[in-house]
Amino acid sequence: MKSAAIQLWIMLIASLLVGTCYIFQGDLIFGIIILVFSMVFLLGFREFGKPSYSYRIAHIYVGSILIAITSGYILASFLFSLVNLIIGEEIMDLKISDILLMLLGVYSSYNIYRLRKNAIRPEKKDIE
Amino acid sequence: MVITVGLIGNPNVGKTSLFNKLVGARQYVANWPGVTVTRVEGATSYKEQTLHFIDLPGLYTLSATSLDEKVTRDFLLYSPPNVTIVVIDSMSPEQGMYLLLETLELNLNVIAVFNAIDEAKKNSIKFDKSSLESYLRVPIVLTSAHTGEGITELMETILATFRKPNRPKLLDYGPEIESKVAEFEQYFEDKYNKRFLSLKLVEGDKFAMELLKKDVEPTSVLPSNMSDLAIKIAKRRYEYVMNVLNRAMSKSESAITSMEAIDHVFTHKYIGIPIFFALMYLAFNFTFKASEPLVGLIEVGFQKLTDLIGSNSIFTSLISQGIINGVGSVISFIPSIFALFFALGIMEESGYLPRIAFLMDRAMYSLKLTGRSFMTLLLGFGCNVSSVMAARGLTDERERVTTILVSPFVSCSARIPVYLMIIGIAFPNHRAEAFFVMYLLSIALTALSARIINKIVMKGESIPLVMELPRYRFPSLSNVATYMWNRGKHFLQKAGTIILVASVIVWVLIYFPDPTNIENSFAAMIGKGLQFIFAPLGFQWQTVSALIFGSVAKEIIVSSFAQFYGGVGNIVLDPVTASALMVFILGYIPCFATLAAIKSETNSLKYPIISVVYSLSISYILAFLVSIIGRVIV
Amino acid sequence: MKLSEAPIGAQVEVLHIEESDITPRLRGIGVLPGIKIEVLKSAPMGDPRMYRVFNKVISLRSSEAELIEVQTSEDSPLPLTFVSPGKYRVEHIECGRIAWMNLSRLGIIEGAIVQLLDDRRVKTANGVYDVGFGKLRKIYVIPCKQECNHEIKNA
Repeated sequence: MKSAAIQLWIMLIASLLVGTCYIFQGDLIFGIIILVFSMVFLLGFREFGKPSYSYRIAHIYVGSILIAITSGYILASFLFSLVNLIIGEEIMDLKISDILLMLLGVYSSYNIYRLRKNAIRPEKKDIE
Repeated sequence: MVITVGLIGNPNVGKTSLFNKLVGARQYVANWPGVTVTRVEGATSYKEQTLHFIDLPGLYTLSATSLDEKVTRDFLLYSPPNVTIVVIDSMSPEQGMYLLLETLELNLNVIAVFNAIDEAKKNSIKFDKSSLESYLRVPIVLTSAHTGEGITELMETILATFRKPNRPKLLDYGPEIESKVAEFEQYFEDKYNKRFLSLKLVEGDKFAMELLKKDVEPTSVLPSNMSDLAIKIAKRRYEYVMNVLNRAMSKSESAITSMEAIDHVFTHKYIGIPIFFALMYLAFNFTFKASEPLVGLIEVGFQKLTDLIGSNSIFTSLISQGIINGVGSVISFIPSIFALFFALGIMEESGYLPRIAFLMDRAMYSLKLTGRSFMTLLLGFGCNVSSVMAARGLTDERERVTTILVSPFVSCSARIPVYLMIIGIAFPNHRAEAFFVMYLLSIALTALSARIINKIVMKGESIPLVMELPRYRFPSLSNVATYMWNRGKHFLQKAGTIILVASVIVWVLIYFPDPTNIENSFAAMIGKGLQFIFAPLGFQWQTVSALIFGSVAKEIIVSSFAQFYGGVGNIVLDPVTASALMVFILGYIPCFATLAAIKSETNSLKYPIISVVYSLSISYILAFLVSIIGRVIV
Repeated sequence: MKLSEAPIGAQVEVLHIEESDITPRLRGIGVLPGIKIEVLKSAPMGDPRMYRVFNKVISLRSSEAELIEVQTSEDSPLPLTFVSPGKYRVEHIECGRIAWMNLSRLGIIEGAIVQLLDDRRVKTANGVYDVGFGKLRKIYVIPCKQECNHEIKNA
């Protein structure tokens, strides 16, 4: 299994990318929100306590949850906009950043699943 | 044969969830302590017996301090139920068992229920039921209100305990305390439970002192080392609890649980508050994006219906303009309201909101309020009446009144359609942002008012706070749906009653005396007559009339606007006036239901009047400021 | 020591509770003399703080936590800023790599014996140093028992 620090880096860079992508697209506030969530990963590096890696895992875990929620929200609003087809208006068009976010959301869900299985439970501590 | 069954336990152990499971009710439950503030009753029948359940507010000890805790204690003391169920949280049973021991002193017919057993199993906590029963000498049932485990067993146990009561005396507090208790028993009337009261007296309980015989002076009989004795009693109880648990419970230590992980980040020193704001923004954005298509669908439907009926005769005009246009304009916002409560429901159900109270406590402290009153105010986002009622759970009288008085500034669901309508007209491209700002403003105005009221109306100290933080739970869809329905149904009921009636009245005022020209109608006369007051804010007569009608219930503003202009789509408002209008609506007057609730909760006419005068003046000033600043900028 | 002053992460034992309006509630929750409380974390600006009593997490403002007199459990590590002068063994250091390297140059590493002097300077095997408050706070120590009671040798 990859070390906690590498996972933090992956998630940090990916979420920063998606966030800036939104900002360049003109969706300023949404971009800032993604950047706030990416700060969760950044602050993960500042955990030094005795079980430092387990707190880092906490940051990966919660950050992934937040990213997953955000992408779920994009997905949900896309699905709801399909109702527009009935009244003949246009459905929401997905931009590149939306698709990137959803891909990251899928990866985050995988992260959550894996961490729940391996790291959060008491039996296994072999994350590093 | 009716068997009365009382449900007691620590706050937030799931008494109400259990109650709902037992009687099939849909009482409002949430994942934070102190949701139930009055007793709630419900009945069900089991094996030809009627079981009458009473759900009581949670408490830690029978030495009650706040109003809701007193409800529970008085109920147990003055009208003891046939069977008392003490609900204990399996995840941290110590505090619940302490309450159990206290309850046993009352000589009641008790069943101990270990709730949330499914969570305990997941965290590998195991209970040995038979040894628990032998040490505590009461029937034990392991249940889960979540999965429904153990509910039938509980029903059986209730019947069995009712038929064969057992009232065990469990604890001996040692000669020093027992002799005091025996000595004190003579000071109480025979009709009371003497042992319980004298024990409470030794603990220094104020309530027990009040119940002393008339000729007994509390100061003369009480020993000087009271607090030592009180601690000894509590210690004895906890020692007993620990002993029992050492023998009957097994648990394994874990490295980091998912709860700790989540909590660590959500209440993080630096990132905690930004995450909160980000999530709130997402919730509001979700309200718009998710509900937009449905709102559009309903609007189009109503429009088609109005066109179909037409408004040529007086009758068709009443139907199409008064009822369909008036009520329909409010109804079409229902998807938004439900979407917002869906998002808020997830936050509340998961146990996230009390963490916000924790993060924000510092700010609340400077307003001389506690995190608990923050939670109470949050209820106001549904309906201000419920937050006024829920203020009963606050221990401190001054804080309670302050919370009641500032409750109307929390943007309730009735104001949502008004904002949505105005924002849709004036800020079509920045709707989520404008909506979010309105909520922030609402919170700021609530805080400001708390500060002012504390300074002027009630002068006081800050209040101590002990707040329990509940565990995180994965929000179940059915719970969130119940939450959404409980909060939203209120809105539907209003649409069918008060809004319908008001829409018809507004229609009458518009239709007469001159159906052809709205400028000559009664509504216009009222609006034009009072327009001079609102001239500095730049309001048209339509706005003024709508505001007057809307003082009954805020949704009527939407329905009046729709009728004045013949449909929401035809309304024109420039951004500055729209902002001033929204700020004014945010605070201008509590609706009739809220005023009635304020009056009944404070039991005086003074506070409703203060509330009306204060809210009118502050919102006028704020709206005036907004319109001046707006004109300078634009 | 008062509960409000106990460092985060410490396990403390309640000694005495001052009588006030909320004492009955504290007793009910289980805050009693002899009970162990864990200090979990603090909100922004250091107030209120979270504590764990048994398995329950509660939030207390400093003004209330001040009423509770506690002592730290013997084997729970404390930051160097919290202890009185004397000899200690470094248990762990909560900091990043660079600060750790700086401290290790002074001879402060995990397992080392250090002595806190009366003037708040730190005597290590490498010499006597003036360590800043911020760094001092990151060094968690436990009191030295007999086995390490020999003089710290100057290099």
